[in-house]
Amino acid sequence: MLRLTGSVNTTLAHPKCVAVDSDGNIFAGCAGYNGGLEKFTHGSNRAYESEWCHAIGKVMGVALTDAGHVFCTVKSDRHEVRVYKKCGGFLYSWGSTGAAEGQFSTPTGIASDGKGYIYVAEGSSWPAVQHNDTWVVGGNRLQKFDSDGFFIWQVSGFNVPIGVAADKKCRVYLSDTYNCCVRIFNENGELIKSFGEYGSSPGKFNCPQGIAVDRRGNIYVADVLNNRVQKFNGDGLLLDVFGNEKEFWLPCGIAVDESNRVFVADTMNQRIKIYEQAGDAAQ
Amino acid sequence: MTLDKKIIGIAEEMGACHCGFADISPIYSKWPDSFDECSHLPAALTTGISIGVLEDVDMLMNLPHTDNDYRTKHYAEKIDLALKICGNIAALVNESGFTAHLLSHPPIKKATGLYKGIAVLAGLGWVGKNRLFVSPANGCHVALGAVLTDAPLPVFNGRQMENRCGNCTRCMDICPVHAYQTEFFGEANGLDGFRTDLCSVVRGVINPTGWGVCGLCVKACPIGKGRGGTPFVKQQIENDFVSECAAAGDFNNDGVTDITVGPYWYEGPDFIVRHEIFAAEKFDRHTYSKTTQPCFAHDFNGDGFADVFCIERNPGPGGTYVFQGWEKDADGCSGWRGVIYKNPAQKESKWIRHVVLDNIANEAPVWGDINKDGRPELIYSSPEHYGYAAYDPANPYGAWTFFPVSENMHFYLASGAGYGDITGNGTNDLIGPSGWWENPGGEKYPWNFHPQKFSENAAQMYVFDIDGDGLNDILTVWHCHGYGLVWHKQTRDKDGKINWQKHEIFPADPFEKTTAENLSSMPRVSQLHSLEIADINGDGINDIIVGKRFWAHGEFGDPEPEVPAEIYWLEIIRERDGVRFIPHLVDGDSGAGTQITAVDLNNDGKINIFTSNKKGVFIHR
Ligand code: SF4
Repeated sequence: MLRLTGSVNTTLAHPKCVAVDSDGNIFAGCAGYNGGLEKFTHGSNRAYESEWCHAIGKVMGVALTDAGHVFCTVKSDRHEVRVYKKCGGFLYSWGSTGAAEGQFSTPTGIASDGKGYIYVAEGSSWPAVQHNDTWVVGGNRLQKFDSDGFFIWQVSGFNVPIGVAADKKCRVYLSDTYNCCVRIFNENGELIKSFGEYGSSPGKFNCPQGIAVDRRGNIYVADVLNNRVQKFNGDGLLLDVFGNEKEFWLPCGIAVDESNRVFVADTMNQRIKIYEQAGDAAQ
Repeated sequence: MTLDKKIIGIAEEMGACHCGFADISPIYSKWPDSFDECSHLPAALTTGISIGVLEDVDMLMNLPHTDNDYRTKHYAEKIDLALKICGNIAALVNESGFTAHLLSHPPIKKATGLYKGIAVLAGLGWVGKNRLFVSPANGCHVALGAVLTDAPLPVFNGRQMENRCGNCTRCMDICPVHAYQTEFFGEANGLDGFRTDLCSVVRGVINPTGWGVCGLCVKACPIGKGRGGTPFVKQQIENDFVSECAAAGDFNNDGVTDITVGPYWYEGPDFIVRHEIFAAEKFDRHTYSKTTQPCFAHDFNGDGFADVFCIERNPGPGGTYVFQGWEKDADGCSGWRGVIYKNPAQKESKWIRHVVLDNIANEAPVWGDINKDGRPELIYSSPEHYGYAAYDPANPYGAWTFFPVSENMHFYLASGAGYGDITGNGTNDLIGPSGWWENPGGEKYPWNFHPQKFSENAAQMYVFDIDGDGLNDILTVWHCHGYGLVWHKQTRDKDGKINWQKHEIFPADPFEKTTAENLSSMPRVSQLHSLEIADINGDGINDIIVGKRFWAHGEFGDPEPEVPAEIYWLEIIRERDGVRFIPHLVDGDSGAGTQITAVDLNNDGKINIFTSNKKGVFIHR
C-alpha cells in the first residue's frame, strides 16, 4: 500500500522523468516546450524547494550515479548525454545525432547500474539518417556505455522504448512503450524476461514509460495512458496498482529512493508526487 | 475532355480517394488571413480543388502497437502523394491558361482549416468534433491536399453535408490530454475549443518521436471504418421500394440461379429480365411493403421449379402497410401469414397463392432443416410459442404443422430466431433473443429452456463456431433498430455446463463514454436488421454480412435514418488467443432490408450479396 506524503510543483512545464538521490534530492527533466532540468532540495521547513533549473533543451531521461553525477538524455540541437554535478555545474557530454553505435536518435530513458555503467534507450530517428553511406532509420534500441560514454553493446528491435532502469546486480529493465511491455536484460544485454501486454486491466499497460527498481528488486512502471503506477516483483508478478485519472494525469516518470519512497512525475499536472510504502519508511 | 474531367482523371489515376470542387468565397470573407500565402497573386482564387488520399486504416486501428516508424513514414508518404497529385493538377490548370496555387503543407497556422474548409464546401464531408475532416466513406483517415484556382470549374452547389457526429463524443472522451475543451465546432477553419498546445504535449512528451501524435481521436471515430479488399461492384436492378426480402433459387429450371424479392423474380445470371409472381406495388418509403419479412425459395413439389415462400403482412385500413398495431384481423390472424406462391412451372400462367401458416408473430424468422428430415422448416414464434413449422411432403401446399418448442410465452412480437447444435450432441437446438431451447430428441415438447440474453432486439441468429475452439457460438445483432453486432462465445465449466461470454463486434452503445477498455475501431451503423454468414474470402471460415435497414421505421423512426445505408462484410480472423473481425465496406449507398442473401449467383466461385429495401434492389458482385 502506498501513502501520499508529498507533492512538489515543478517550474518545468511537463516533468517527464525523475531521479532521486540518497539525500532525498529530486532531479526532474522536461521534454515539452523549452524542456529543462530542475533540482529540488529540502528547504528549511523540510518542504521541497527548487535549487536550480537549467534550460538545456528537451530532457528525456535523468539518472544518478553512485559517483554523485547527474546524467541526462537531451534532445536539442544534437541528441546527446549530458553530465552535471549535483550543484548544477556542467561536467561533460557525449554522443551526437545519428544511428551509429554511440550516437542517438531521440534518446529517451537513461539509467545507471551498480557498477556505474550507463544505459540509454532511444525512440526513433525517423526520417532516416545517413550511416555508412546508407540512409537508415535509427533508434528503437538500448545502448550500454561506460560512464565516459564508451559504447559497450546495443540491443534493438523495440517500438519506441522510453523508460530504462538498472539495479545493483546490473540487470536492466526497459519499458518497450508502444509494444506495451517490460523487458529485462542481464548485464550482457541478453533478454531474461518480458511481461505485460496492451490493456487497462491490472497488470496490462497502455504506453508504459518511466520504470524504476527498488532495492528488493521490485519493479515500478508508470503506466501513462492508464494514469496509474503498477508495482511488480522481479518475476513480473503484479504486486500493486495505484493511482487513477484523479490522482495522475499522464504520469511519465518514476523513481524509488533508498527508503523505498516512490517519486512519480505527474507530467500533465506539473508536479512530482511522493509516496511512502507501508512498512518501508522505518527500514 | 473538359478540364474538370481531366482533373478528376489525374486524381483517380494517382490514387486519390476523393476529388471535388468548391466555391471558397465564403472562406475568403470569413478568414481572409488564411489566404496570406497566395496574396501575391493578381486576383483572388475563389475555386478550391480538394483531393484526399486514404491512409492505412489497419495501421491506425492497431494503435498503440503500430510500428511507430512505419506510422510516421506512412503519414509523410501520404502527404507527399497528396502534394504530388495537387502539383500535377496545378500544372494542368496552368497549362490550360488559368492560375493555380498549390496550398502549402504543413499549412501555415492561419490556414489550418483551409484544407478542411475546401473539402467541406465541396460537399465531401464535415468537420468532426475531433476537428478533422470526416468523410462518410473514409472517416478521418484521409490526407488532404488542395489547389486554389480561378479556372471555371463545376463547383459543388448542393447542400453541405450535415455534421453526423450527433451525440458521439468518442474522440473527445479518449483524448489523453483533454485537448477538446468544447464540443461544438461549427466551422471548418480554425480550431476553436481545441487546445493544440495540449495536443502537442503528446507529440513531444508522451511520444517524443517524429510524428508523435497519439492518433486516438482518429482510431476512436466510428465513421468510415470499412476497409478495402474484395471490391464489390454494385448492380441496382430496381430503384423503387418493392419489398425488403431477398432469396435465391432456380425459378425456370435452367440450372442457373435466379433471385426473388417476393413480387418479382429475376432471371440469372444477368438479373435483367424480370417476371411478376404476384401483383407488384411500389410502396411509399414511409410505410412498409407486403413482403417486409424474409422470403425463401424452395421446390416443394420436386418439379425442378422453385416455389417462393413469403411472409405477408395483412394490409391495414385502406390496403396500406402502415404499422397499425397488433390486433387480429377479421380471420383471427395476428401478424403475418406464411404463403407459398406455387411456381407455374411454365405450364400455368399464374403463380398460385397458398396460405400455409397463420399467426407468425416473429420478425426475422429463419429457414432451415431444424429436425434433420431433409426438408426446410420455418423457425419462428407464434403469438404464444417459439417453435417451428413443417410441411407434409404429401401435401406441401396445405396447412403446415407448428411444433411448439417453448412454453407459452405470451408474445406480443418476437424479433429474431435461429437454430443449430449448441450442445454438440448432433441435434439442432433453437435460439431466440432471450435464451435457447435444448432439443431433447424425439417428439417431446416443450424443450428445456436456458435463459440467456443474446440480444435486446435480434434479427437473424446464427449458431456456428466463430473462434474455432470446437464449440458453437452465437452471432446476432444487439438491437435491430438501434446499434450493435454481438457474438456470444460458448464456454464450458468443468462439469460441462454451458456458459456464454458476450463480445461486441459493433458497439451496442456507440455513444457510451469511450475508455481504453471499450475503445472500438468499428463503424457506427444503426438499424442492423439483417445479417447473413458466408465464406466471402474463401478461407474456409464463414464471414459475416450485415447491413443497415434503411429507414426501417421511416424517416424519423430509428437512430440516424439519414446516414448512408451501408453494407459491410466482416472478415473473421481466428488467432491463437481469440478472434478478430475486420469490417470491409461492400457499399455505402444501398444497405439492406430484413434479409441478406449471400450466395454464388453466377458460379464463378465468389459470393455475391443480394438485398432489397426502401432504396431498391441491389446485387453486389
Ligand atoms: S469520434 Fe464521434 S464525435 Fe469525434 S469526429 Fe468521429 S463521429 Fe464525430
